[in-house]
Amino acid sequence: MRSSLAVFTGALRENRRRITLWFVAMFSLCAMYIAWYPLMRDAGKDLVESLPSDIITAMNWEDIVTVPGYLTSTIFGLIAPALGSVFAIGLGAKILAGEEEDGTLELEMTAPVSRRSLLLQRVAALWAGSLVVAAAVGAAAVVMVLVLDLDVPLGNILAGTVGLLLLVTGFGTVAFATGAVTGRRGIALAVGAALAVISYAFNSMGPILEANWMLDVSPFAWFLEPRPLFDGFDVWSIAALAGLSIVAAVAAAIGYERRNLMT
Amino acid sequence: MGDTVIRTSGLVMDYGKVRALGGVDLEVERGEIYGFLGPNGAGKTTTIRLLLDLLRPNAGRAEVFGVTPREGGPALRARIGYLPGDLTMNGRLTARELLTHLAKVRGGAGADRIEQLAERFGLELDRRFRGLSKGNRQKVGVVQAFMHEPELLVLDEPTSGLDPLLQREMLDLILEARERGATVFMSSHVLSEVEDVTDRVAIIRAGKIVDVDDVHALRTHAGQLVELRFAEPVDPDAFAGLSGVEDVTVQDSRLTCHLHGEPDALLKAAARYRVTYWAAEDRELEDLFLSYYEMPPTREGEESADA
Repeated sequence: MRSSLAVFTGALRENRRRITLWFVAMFSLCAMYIAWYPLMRDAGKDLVESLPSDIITAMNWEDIVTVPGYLTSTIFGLIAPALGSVFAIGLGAKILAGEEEDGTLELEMTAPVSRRSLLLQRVAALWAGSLVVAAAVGAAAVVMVLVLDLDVPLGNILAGTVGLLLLVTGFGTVAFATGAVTGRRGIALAVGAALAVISYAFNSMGPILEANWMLDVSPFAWFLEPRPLFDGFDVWSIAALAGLSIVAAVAAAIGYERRNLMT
Repeated sequence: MGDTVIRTSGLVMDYGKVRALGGVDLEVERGEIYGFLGPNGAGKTTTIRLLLDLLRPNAGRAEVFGVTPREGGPALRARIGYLPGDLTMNGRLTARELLTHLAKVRGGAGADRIEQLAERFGLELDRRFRGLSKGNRQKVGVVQAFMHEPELLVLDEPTSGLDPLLQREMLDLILEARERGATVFMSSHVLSEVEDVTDRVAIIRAGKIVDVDDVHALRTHAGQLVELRFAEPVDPDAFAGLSGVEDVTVQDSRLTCHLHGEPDALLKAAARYRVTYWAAEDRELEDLFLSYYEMPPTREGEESADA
């Protein structure tokens, strides 16, 4: 069969509005947070000295007064992964299982496209959409760092952005795979959200409870433990996060191949 | 062998504990228009989805152009045009965007016929799908099913939701497809909507095929409904046991009965009296069809069949 990317481009077109709005919202929100940095730098010193150290650790606030620390604790360690996960899990659950449930996938599924190709093109569209939203975070950080002349290497912002992308893509792909195997958007959303929340909780609680295993199994920790905004790229972190998406996508393809569609 | 386009044998499909199909056997020959009739929930859509590899049977075998839908894969589906029974598409996109996209997914096949088919059916291509009426949505489905001139058309309730004029246009399109050599497998729960074009019909009820016949045989089987009125009350016994006459009811001077085959015996029996009124109409195939559903072919029965 002629292979074409029509399913991929079609899936992006169906979601262009959603992706565009998320890009704009993410960019504005992140830029706004960074704009407050000069104020926070002055007020933050007093705050950090007044809080118990456990809370400081839990909230990733140790280095809040430094630029990489502020970027990590506000954007890359908090709002960007939180909102980015909402986006990726939502799109991951919708782009295959949701469309199947709504019946809008019926004509593509009966078109001369193999199930595997359809699935791979749709997961690629999810990844592309996540790339756009993660890029909004990176772009906002770069723009504001340049405008405010803040002291952080742009390479570290890129490392943080790539890590963020792979993290939210991982959650989104797990939701996608759950949808591919079950055909149910609700289950896909629940599993994706549960993974993201547990992953975040383990990353916060692990150091306090001195439970390293929590950090070992938490994709959130895979992303933040190597401190990308301070230290730049970490190969193992990138590989582990990318592995999550790849394993989920392979599981999706295997489950989808065998299932009855739209029952 | 090579001329059988669809062949299923012992096709069984369960949804959990519910048996949707209990061993369906079908043979559809190349170039015929095959009606697949049955009430809602009888298993028509399930059978169609098995043919398109959306579902995999629990038992039995389906073949389309000699291969199972799963083995056939994309190459097989390229030869099929499919109209879903309940078509849903992304509401934000226009009919043109949706149809162009489907043509692309099919490697470009049919893109050049979108305009022509849309014009024929009076479909406004630049309206969003969400804003289209049920009939117009159905037209989008019709255009995408026919535009790539497939060898096999699988149409799930193609005439439902269309007004009588468009139903006619739809049936013409189906006849044209057969003229260029295509095979048509279409389902319906209303026989009268499809009886004009179908060559053969299978009737499915509760997941089993209860009858396969050509439409002319069905019509002969259905016979005529005859009404006679006489100048005076008649003796019911005079009309008992006549060949080809059934269900005789006599009310004073009025007689109704079902007539199959030649009317000779009935006419000779009636000629002994003075006949004041005579009416014979072809029995609606619908009545026969309803009797397969085990519903009385009465007014009440028809209403409950529509509900």
